[in-house]
Amino acid sequence: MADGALRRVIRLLASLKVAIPLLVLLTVVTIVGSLFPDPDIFRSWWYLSLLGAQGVSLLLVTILHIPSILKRKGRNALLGVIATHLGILVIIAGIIYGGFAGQRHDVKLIEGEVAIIPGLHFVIQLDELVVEEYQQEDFPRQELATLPKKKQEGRITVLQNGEAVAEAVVAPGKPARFDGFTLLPSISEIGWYFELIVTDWLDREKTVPVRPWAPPVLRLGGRDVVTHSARSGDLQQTEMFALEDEQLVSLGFAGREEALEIDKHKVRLGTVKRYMGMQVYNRPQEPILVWGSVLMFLGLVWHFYFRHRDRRREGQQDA
Amino acid sequence: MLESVEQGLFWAATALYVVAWGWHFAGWKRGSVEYTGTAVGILWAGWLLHLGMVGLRWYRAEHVPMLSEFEFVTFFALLVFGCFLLFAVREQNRMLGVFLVPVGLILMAYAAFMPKDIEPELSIFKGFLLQFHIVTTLLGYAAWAVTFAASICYLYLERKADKNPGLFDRMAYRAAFFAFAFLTLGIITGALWGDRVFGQLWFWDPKETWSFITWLIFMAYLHARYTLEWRGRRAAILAIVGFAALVFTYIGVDLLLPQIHGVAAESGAMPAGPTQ
Repeated sequence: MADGALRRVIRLLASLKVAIPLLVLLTVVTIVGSLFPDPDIFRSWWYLSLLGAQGVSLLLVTILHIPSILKRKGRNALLGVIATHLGILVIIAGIIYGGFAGQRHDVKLIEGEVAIIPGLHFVIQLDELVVEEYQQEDFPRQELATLPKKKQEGRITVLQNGEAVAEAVVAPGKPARFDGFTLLPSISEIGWYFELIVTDWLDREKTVPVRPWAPPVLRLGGRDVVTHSARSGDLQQTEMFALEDEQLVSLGFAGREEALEIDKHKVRLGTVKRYMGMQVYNRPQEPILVWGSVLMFLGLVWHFYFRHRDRRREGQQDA
Repeated sequence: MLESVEQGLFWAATALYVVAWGWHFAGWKRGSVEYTGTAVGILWAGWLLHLGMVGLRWYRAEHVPMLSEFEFVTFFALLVFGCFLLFAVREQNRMLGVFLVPVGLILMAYAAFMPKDIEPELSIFKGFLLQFHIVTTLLGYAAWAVTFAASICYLYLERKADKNPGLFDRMAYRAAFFAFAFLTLGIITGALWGDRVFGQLWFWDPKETWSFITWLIFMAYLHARYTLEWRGRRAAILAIVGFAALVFTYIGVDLLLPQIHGVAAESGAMPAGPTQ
């Protein structure tokens, strides 16, 4: 009974009456999904299930059509068809497996400091970050702030149990690999980490670290005060804002030498260091995707080349 | 000096393409093989000047000329005309030019309005993978433009009750196979490049999603022909749908949907255009 039901499901999925509408449905759903700004729709269980169903259907249709392809189009065409479809299936399997496997962490590396990543057996130290900016004359029509850096090279050391186990120079597009993990600097997350030195009316000094990705709110006198980024270059300073009715109101700039006075507090800029974001990830599905792609492409080339050649030899025309 | 020569080559090539289309059209209307033969000759001359222009740009820019919008579109047009010449010579048929040359001409006209400054190559663009991605994707698009034009020719001849429109049907299929293989390679290499630079193989941003949709339609076309034995009219209509998806991926997405490719293109972090 159960066998009969399974057979019916397999027969249904293997029929073109299901495979083609499934392909049309996948296309329509993908079109609708592209209209939403959030791509999470494509990572949902039901979209991955639709992709999986399309893969299974493709496999069954191909298996079912093996005898007729062999009869009508010959052995070479069949080999090409099998390799191409097997490649697509391997890719789909890799995508679905990737939905559950692997891990990814986003870390911020501050120059001269060690970043601990919870759950990983190593830590990363950013020894030096060399940054070079483009000049306006290089890109007269672009806003420089939106461009990636001309040079963004980080010298890093990987440490395990307090001992250096690897060193590398990384840049966007030039990741390092360690123990199955890829260490890739971010293009957009790069800036200045800094400290504020706050002196109150009793001359007591306090150092407040400012991580631009999570800026602190300071209570100075009766005001909530924030800052989020320091200016680079020779004139290092940071703009301070008061939070008033959920609005940011500029209070002026605090520099290294020139303190900014806010409600009987003096605020100066302390240590300033570069920081950059880094993605640390491992992806066990990667070889599956690469080999699936290679198989699919080779299948296509094989099919086209040999089918064309076979038809020419037979004195027939394509299609 | 070299900039002026480059501009001269661009306009001379465009002018020759326009003349070639005129000859194609005249040959088609008069049914004259001589006219269309001359048209292909003129097109070859235009294409060589165009190739010279791209080569000169490469020399001047000191990087592959595919990164700015102008470079990208002119390179795409070069491939479209190149594919036409390949298929026109192989197939010994020149009616295709009446419908395919305008596709390349629209691209040249589009390029004419773009800023032509040379900008330095961003460090993330360096390397073989991105160039391979652009070339393969554009080859896929150019080959599908042949499928599109051949399908239009087929539909036209079918309406005229021509005895043998099947030539265009087969040409469309052959070009579609090329297009699918190259677009597949283009999508794979684009994903690999994105992974290397941004740490992710696939973002599902609208440009990528629409490339995938275009790929699905190309796949549906090949399956419809291969398994369902679709021929002629139905296959031609599906080919035109595929071309519409391609145009939307290339231009519509940039205009209508916000995306990583677009933002990156504006910022210079990615070149403009499809699936790059």
